Amino acid sequence: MAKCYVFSIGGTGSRVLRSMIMMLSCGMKLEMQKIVPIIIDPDMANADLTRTVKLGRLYNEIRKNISGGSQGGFFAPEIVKQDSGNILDILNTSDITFSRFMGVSSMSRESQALVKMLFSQKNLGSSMKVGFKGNPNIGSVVLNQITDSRQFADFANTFEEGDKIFIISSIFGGTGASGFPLLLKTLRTGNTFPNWSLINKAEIGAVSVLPYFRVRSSEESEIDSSTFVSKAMAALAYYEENIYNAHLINALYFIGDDLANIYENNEGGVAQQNEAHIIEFLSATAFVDFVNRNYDGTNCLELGIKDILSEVTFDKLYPVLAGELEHPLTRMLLTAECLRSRYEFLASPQFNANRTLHIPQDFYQSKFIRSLREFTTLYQEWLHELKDNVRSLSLFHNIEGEKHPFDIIDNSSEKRTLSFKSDYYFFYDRLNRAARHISGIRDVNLETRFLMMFFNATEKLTREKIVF
Amino acid sequence: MNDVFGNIFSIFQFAYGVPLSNYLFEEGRAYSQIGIAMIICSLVVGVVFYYVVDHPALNTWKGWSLSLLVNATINFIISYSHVLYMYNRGEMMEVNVTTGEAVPVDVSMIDFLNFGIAVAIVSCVVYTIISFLIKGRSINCAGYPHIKKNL
Repeated sequence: MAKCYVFSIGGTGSRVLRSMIMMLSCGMKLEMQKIVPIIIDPDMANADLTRTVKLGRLYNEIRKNISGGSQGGFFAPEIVKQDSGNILDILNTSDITFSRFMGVSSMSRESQALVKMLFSQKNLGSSMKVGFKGNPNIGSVVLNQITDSRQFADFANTFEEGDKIFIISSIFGGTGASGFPLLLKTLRTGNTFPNWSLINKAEIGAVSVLPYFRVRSSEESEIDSSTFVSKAMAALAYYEENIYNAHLINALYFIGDDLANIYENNEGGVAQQNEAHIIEFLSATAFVDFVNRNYDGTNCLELGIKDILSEVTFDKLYPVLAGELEHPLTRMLLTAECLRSRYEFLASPQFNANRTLHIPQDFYQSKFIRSLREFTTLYQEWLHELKDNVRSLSLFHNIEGEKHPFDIIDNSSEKRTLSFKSDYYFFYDRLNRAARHISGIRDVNLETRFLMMFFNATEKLTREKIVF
Repeated sequence: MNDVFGNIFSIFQFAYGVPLSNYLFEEGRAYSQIGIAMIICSLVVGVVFYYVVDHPALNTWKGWSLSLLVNATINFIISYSHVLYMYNRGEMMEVNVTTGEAVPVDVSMIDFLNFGIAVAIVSCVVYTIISFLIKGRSINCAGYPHIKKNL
């Protein structure tokens, strides 16, 4: 089965990967069912990175219990864990200056002079403990070791005909801006790793995220957001010449926004954790588009929405994109809220599906259910962050629909249905019907049946009750 | 069939009196009518509960008991009304063995009420049996009644 390798570079890469994992969990239609994420970030303590890694582990924790690949429903795609791990080793960067990394002190006088011409004293004295702090010139040197890592070797060894590669990076940071062109060039022209001829010819896509936020000015931080735009312009000029005109890529997605949002200025480490943003969300849809289509030649793509408003809802997205997102995201939200607010009922004998599917009482205290509830809670948190951010992605106005689970879309009331039941009783009815429908399916375990029940029921509920 | 139902209902004839019981057995032959009505009623209530209403909130002992009570009430009303109707139409007459004349059966309102209660009680048993027979395919309410400790 063909795979898509996803290189996510830097903090933006990790945040986009987070949105991607959320979308994968929802059962979005994907032509490829095996995704191999490889994270490139020297700042291992980066909170964005650790949050995304934790999410990925939770996803796999849930998915490993599913037999038969959940039959196209929730958690269908496999997030493949490489033997050597999914975080690329970047060596000799912890608590060391850039100058020491390059070994400037042991260089000849002429080489030292050249180095001092290319890099400022500040750059040379910069610690790389928390990454490159918005300096792509540093990253472009340090990240040359990518191909020497075990994770890259694993990637190259397992790459097969028909596999695709997708790269996520920002254009205005340090790691992403340097890592993307370096990685792309290596993939297209490198010949020192296994399967290099296949990889050189592979279909490669990338999303390059333009500036979409600022950081507060801080004397304690080297990061200055007033340079974001100029860095982006410089990088774009480089991309045009060395990537687009050189036909190194098949699909290059660009996305950006006004710099209305202001985050705290944290250079990296555990303090760098930004709330989810619509730009990261939409960048993840670029990945979905790339996986579902075939791109020959060199294509540049941009995403637009209907109206540039401070609040973006489903109806502000163009029909194709909205159509891809509406049902999957709604299904998962309905499931999340039911598991959160109606857990006691689901675990009780009153819930008839327990009888239909022979679900024992202790199933609801199992690790599977705990992981699932944890994941769905994170899903709701993610939606909240998207909604509360500046340029709000307000897809659902009622993320915790405790009393009225179907009243979740802004400016829209739920569809009326002819039934004695309403609200959660209607929900339970649909769950029970779904359980009856799947009770005859053989060779699937209880966890798979449980997820299938929710998937089928919430799909039906979305069609019956939700007006987008 | 009158005898079958009669033998069942007459378990309670201590409550509604031998005269009424004898009348229903012999001249009126109403036991079969009431018995068949009771079965049909219990079946209808069962189908409505499990397949028409079929509400998740009722999938409890309380919910099922409510349907049991509804069924018992309906059967009480049907049986009480039926015997009262027969009485009011002057149908409840018997032949005095001494005089050979037709005389009213020695019954009272209390007997009719008690008869109604007796039918209600029997309907509870019938409804329970019907519940076990038809509940299996219910979407939301197949849990009750049940015998096992754990579902």
